[in-house]
Amino acid sequence: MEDKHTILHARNITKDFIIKNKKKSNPTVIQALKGIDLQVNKSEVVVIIGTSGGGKSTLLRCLNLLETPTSGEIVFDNNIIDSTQKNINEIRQKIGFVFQNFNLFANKTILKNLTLAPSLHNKTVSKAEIDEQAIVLLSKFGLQDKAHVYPSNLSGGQKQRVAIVRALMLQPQIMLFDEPTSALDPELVQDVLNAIKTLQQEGMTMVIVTHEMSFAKAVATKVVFVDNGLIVEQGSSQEIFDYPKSDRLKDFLSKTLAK
Amino acid sequence: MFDDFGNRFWRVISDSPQFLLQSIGNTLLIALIGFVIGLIIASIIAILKIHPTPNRALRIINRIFDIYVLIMRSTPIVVQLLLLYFGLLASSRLPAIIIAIIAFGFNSGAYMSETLRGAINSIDKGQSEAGRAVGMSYGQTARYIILPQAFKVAIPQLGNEIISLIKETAVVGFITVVDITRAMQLIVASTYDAVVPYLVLALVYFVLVVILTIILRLLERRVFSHS
Repeated sequence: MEDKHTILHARNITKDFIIKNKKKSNPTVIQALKGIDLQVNKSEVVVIIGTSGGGKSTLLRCLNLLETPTSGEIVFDNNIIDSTQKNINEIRQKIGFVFQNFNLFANKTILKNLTLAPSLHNKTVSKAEIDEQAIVLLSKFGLQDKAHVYPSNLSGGQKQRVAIVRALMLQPQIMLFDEPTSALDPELVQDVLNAIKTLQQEGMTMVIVTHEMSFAKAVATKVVFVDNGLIVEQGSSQEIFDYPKSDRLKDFLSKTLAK
Repeated sequence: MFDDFGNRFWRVISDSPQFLLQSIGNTLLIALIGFVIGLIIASIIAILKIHPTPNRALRIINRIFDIYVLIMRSTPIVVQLLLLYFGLLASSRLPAIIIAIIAFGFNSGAYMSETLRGAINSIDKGQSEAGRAVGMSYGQTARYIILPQAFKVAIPQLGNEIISLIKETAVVGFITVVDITRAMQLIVASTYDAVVPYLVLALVYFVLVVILTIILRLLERRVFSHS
């Protein structure tokens, strides 16, 4: 039985990466995820923290099936989804994804970056209407004057905000952020965090992988500590940051918060 | 050898300018349309070959493409032309020039598929991931995001390809197409002057390639102006 407010539920997800050797007989298997259960409810902000290489990003990429889990299932909006099903592209529109490296379409202007997918998916809405919608969203994030430039002319912070708007254009039910500020110069981080906070205030459901601990504290309704392919601890930000139980989390916090 | 050069030169040019222009037209027609056909074939092959999760049918198709590329690259274009004209398409009643266009299209397609494959691989993987993340299909991502960027990377190489195509078409006389080379051979045969017509021939190719080079430059400058 799914809670009716649950939007996304990862059930017992594992992910193995198989690295082929020269001898094909014994490939190296890396277990990135070893059985993860994660439930995201409506309007929740789930922040995933943990050591590098611990499986945070892999987990996030499994949630919208950019990676195909080795076993387990992803339940989105009460339906089990998998990457081979026909309507997977429709489902992905409802799960916004923001990359660490922005990944704006380099050959398209900002406006085109925003309108390309909506105009391909929704043939009944006019181009003018979609453009209009894009301009409104750009203005909301202070980017209205960038509509007709190419991504290469933007700063990292601007690129990331455009990437957020690009995902929002599809009216997603949930947004996934994969280390959205890790590739930014320090002085540009705040703009992007503010954009995410705006979404939080509007009640957007979000899953955020981040190294920004103070930000995690501020926005998270639930914090999940992932280490070595497993969820070690999860709870409110107070429980995780102020009263960590496991040694591994205590160790992790002492290293990251000391900085 | 060059006695009375001016008059002989003038005779080659003025005797039947229409004939010369028509044969130059044929050379360009075969090279340019062959190039476009080749580019379409190459795009299809390249995009299918780099599919990250090929199913069984696609793997078989890709194997067939491999064999096609191998055959095209390991036999001379003249031999391919002859085999098409006297063999495969002999009963098709297609005009020889159409057969030449097909042969050059398929031949350059094989070469360019490798060029494009390299160019596509050079595009950041994040670009296609972003396409998938906004719910675009593999085909849509390829068409709107990956291929336009790959073509841009490949422009210098594709320019090379079309320049060599123009010169390689010189062998279409083997299957009775009158291109500029064949035209000059005919003039040589009727005037018994072998030096000047062939000099003019060299000059024609030279001018064609120079014009093409300039066009490519302009194109490159336009394409790269916004990045």
